[in-house]
Formats: sequence, C-alpha cells, structure tokens
Amino acid sequence: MTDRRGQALVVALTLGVVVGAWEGLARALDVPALPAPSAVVSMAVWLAGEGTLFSDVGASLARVFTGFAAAAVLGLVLGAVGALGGPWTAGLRALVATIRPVPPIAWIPLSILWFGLGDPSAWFIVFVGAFSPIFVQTCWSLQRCDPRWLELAQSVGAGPWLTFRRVRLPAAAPGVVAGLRTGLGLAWTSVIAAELVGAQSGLGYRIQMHRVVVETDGVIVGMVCIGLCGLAMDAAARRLERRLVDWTP
Amino acid sequence: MTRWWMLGAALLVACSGSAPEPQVTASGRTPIRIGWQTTWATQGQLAVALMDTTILEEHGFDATFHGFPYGGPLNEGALAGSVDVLFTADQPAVALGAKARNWGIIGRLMANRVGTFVPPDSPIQTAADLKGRTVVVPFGAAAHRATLGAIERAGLDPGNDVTVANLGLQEIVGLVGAGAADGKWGATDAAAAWDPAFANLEYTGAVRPIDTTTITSVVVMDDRFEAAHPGSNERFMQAMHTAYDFVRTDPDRLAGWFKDKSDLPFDVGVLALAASVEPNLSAQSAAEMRVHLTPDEVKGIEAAADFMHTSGLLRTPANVSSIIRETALQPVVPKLSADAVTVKKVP
Repeated sequence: MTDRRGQALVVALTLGVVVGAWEGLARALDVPALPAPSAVVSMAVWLAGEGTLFSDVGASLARVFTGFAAAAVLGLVLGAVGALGGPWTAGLRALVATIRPVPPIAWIPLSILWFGLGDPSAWFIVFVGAFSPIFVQTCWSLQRCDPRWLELAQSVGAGPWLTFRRVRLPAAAPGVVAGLRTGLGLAWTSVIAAELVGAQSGLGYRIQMHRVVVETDGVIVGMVCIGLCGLAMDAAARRLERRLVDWTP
Repeated sequence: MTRWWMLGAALLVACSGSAPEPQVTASGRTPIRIGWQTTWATQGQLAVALMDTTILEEHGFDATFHGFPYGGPLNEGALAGSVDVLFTADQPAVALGAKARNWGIIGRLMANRVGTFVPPDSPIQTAADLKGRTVVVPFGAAAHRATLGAIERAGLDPGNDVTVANLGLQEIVGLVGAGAADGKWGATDAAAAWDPAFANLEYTGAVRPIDTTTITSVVVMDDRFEAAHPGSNERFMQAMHTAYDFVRTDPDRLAGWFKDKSDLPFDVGVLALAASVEPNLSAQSAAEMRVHLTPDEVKGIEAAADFMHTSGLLRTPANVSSIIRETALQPVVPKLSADAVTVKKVP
C-alpha cells in the first residue's frame, strides 16, 4: 500500500466514524437542532433537484472570482509600488495596515450605499477581504530580497528593470503566490458574509433563508458546500502554486 | 479519556434541547423562561410590564427573561431549549411549529404593522405605481409577504412587473438614513420594514408609506413545559391579559419603560404610532380586551403558512391547525386587574 493510499484510507475512516457517530447521535436525540447526515443528504438532493444548489454555488463562485481578480490586480500592483516606490509609499503601507483589521462584514452597509444592491456590492466585499493579504505579501516578499543577490546583479551591470525581472521577482514569487492563496481563501469567506445580508442568490443567501425557517438541514447543506468549494479552490491554488513556483518546498 | 466523555456528555445536553423539569422555586412558584424581542414595539411594553411588576408572581410564575434581536434567533433559542415561552410574529411561529411539533401557539400577542414605503419626494403614490421599479424587503419576513400582497392587490405581478430584492432590516434603515435623491435611495425606489423601525422612519418623516398591513403576532409555548406544569398556558395568558390592562391604563409610562430598558434611540411617539393598531390598547375597559385568536386572525396565520410554502421557504405546507393549541382560541378570564398590580421597580 502506498503512502497516498494509506492516507486516503485514514481520511475515509475518520470521515466515516465522524459521520456514523453524527447519524447515531442525531437518531438517538431526534431533535431539530441536530439533523442526521441522511436528512442533510436528502435536503441536498432536493435542492439539487430544484436547481437552486447549483445556481447558488455558481453565483457565489462568480462573485468570488470577480472580486478576487480585482483584488489580485490591485494588490500586486500596489504591493510592488509599496515595496519599491521609495520612502513616500510609507503612507500607502500605513493606510493598508489601518484598513486590514477591519473585517469585510463591517463594510457591508457602506458597500450597499456605494454600489447598490446585487453583485457589485458583493464584489466589493470580496475585494476588501482578498486585497490586504495580497498587498502585504507582495510588498513584504519584494522588500526582503537578499541584498547579496541584488549586489551581485549590480556587479554584473544589470539595470533596475532587469534586476526586478530576474532577481527580485523570482525571489518574491513564493511569498506572492502564498499571498494570493490566502487572499482566495479570505475571498471565499467574505462572499458568504456579503450574501448573508443583501443578496438574492448564493450559498450565504441560502443559509440565511434556511435559518429564517429553522431548516437546520438546509443550513448544514450550505455549510458543507462552502467547505467543499473552499477545499477545491485551495487544492486548485496549491496545484497552480506548484506549477508557477516549482522551487517552492 | 475522561475529558472526551465529558465533552460527549456536554454535546448531548446541548443538542437535546433539554426538556423542562416539573419543579418549583423556593417561593413555590413555577419557574418560566420567557423569550422576548428586545426592540419590537408593543410586545416590548408588554414584556417590561411582566418584568417590572408582580403580574407573573401573582399568576404563580418566577420568570427569567431572555432577549433576542428578532424571530430567527428566538426560534433557535427555542430549539436549543433555552426558553419555555416566546413572543413572535406569525411566520416565525409557523416555522417553529412546523419544525418542532412540541411548540404551539397558546394565545394572541398583538397586532403589529408592516409597511411598504418610498422617499417623501417620490412620484410613487400607490403600490400600482411600483410597476418597473425596485423594492427591497427582508426576504422571509412578514414584510416580504405584505409587500408582495400589496403589489398583487394593485393588479401587478410581483415576479414580472416589479423587481423585488432581498435586503436585511438594518441595511434598509441604513439605506434610508443615507438619504434619497430624485425620489430614490440609490437604485431603490421603495422598501419595506416592520415596527418600530417602520414607525420611526414614518414618524421622523424619512419615508412616506404607500401600504400598511397589520399582522397578528402570537405567544408560543413548549408543550413539554405545559405537561410539566399543567394549566400554565392558561395562567400565562391570564397574566398577558393583566399586562395588557396595565399597559392600556398608562401607555406612555410603559413606552418609557420599554425605551429605557432597550435603550431605543427614538421618541416614545414612535412606540405610540406602532401601538395604534392594537385594539386592546384603545379598549375602554379590560372586558373589551382579548388575548385569544379570532377566526380571521387564524386565517391570517394560515395565509402566512401558505406564503411560506409557495415562496419556497418551507418544503412542505405547514398544518396551521396542528400548531394552534385549543387554549389560543378560548377567551381568557382575567384573574387580576391593572389596579391590583404592584410595581417591583421603576426601570
């Protein structure tokens, strides 16, 4: 048995034991607060049959990718400016450092006032959630390039652009990609927060609607979908990371 | 290993929604946990009347009050076994009764308003003018049903003629607070909310109502509590009748108590506006008041249940007759009049 197969078996066993215990506990207690996994699956099948499950997953994913793309572009550009733009960029870094601790959900009232209802306000919330880690990681990774490498580049006559392209950027890439991965994860959690309040579709919206009528099994379906989508996105990001920066340990 | 067993036991207790035990307090009275909504008008005056007078003690209860922000979390508190009785609107009551058969409506709580409104300078005068416009409502709330009903009564199709979008109550208040331009709040032409938020916006002139609907809210009790303390549902509704009498005789005083207790950021006139649709508070005598449901009010609750099913909130239709307990339909004979009530403390 290979290591990978062994690991898969351990994961399957763990999941099996947890789900089995959950089913047994739920059947023994028989209370609405703890629906059995079989009830959750039944609700998921019903939602899938109605088409709402797939449309909600699609709506959430579309919002994540739009907001994340904007955050990635601006975070990379401003992160580079913050790292290399000279002393006057201290203000930019201070601004981001001030905004960073504000949770994306706190921006919801303003986003609705600024961007109205619907997707634009959700894109903004996702952008806010994803931007800071991308900016900070880009800035930090470009700044911390080993000075000996820079001196070596200068000693062989490399100009600023060549130094950036051939030395700083490859050195910073693992950190930058890690920032993008963190940003993607936060984008996903942010979109759920945005959809809980002012959306007409999406997994956050569906969870809220199930909460209104105390359909706990529906709430859990939404939570499981969020977990699975987040897992899939992180796996895809890891794969991309390995391709882009194949020297990453 | 012991810690794992303790964790498992704690999980069992937490999930089981612990059933009430037949017990009495040292005073010989029945302990009761009441779930109320901390910012909900009229219900708030009744709750503080129960809290700060001896009404409940006189009816054999030692009460603890648990405040919740709105009906959703209150239902979750009920399912978790944190309350024995709760005050809620028709839709949350139907949702709770449909989900947990041990929860049933034992009486009428109040009539309360939900409204659809526009900016004061909006060209929209009636619901019929909403054609082609955008209306925001908190989906799943009674205001959602009321607004769709107003649109339908105006001869419009809510699915095609009007864009009805979801927005939480707090966000609607924020939207209105940000101010209107050209008769709109951004891209929004109209909105819906319930009292006291609706009354506050109306009272301060921030909005102009185009439709006001009255819905019936109810008192819901855990059957297991009634089984453990037989007759407690009737005693509790007798206490509610006395609380109404107490509020009726001095509504401004009770509005002030509620405002102080919940730290409400608006004028007591707002609470008076919200309470204006409650017939018990305009009754000339206690004999004119009632805390039981009329057939029309039962029909209103059935309409709420139908809406919840047809709008997709509930997978299967709720059987309202199985949610309403027999005591909810019987007139209550009060045991205590308002002038016999002792104030424990002025809030």
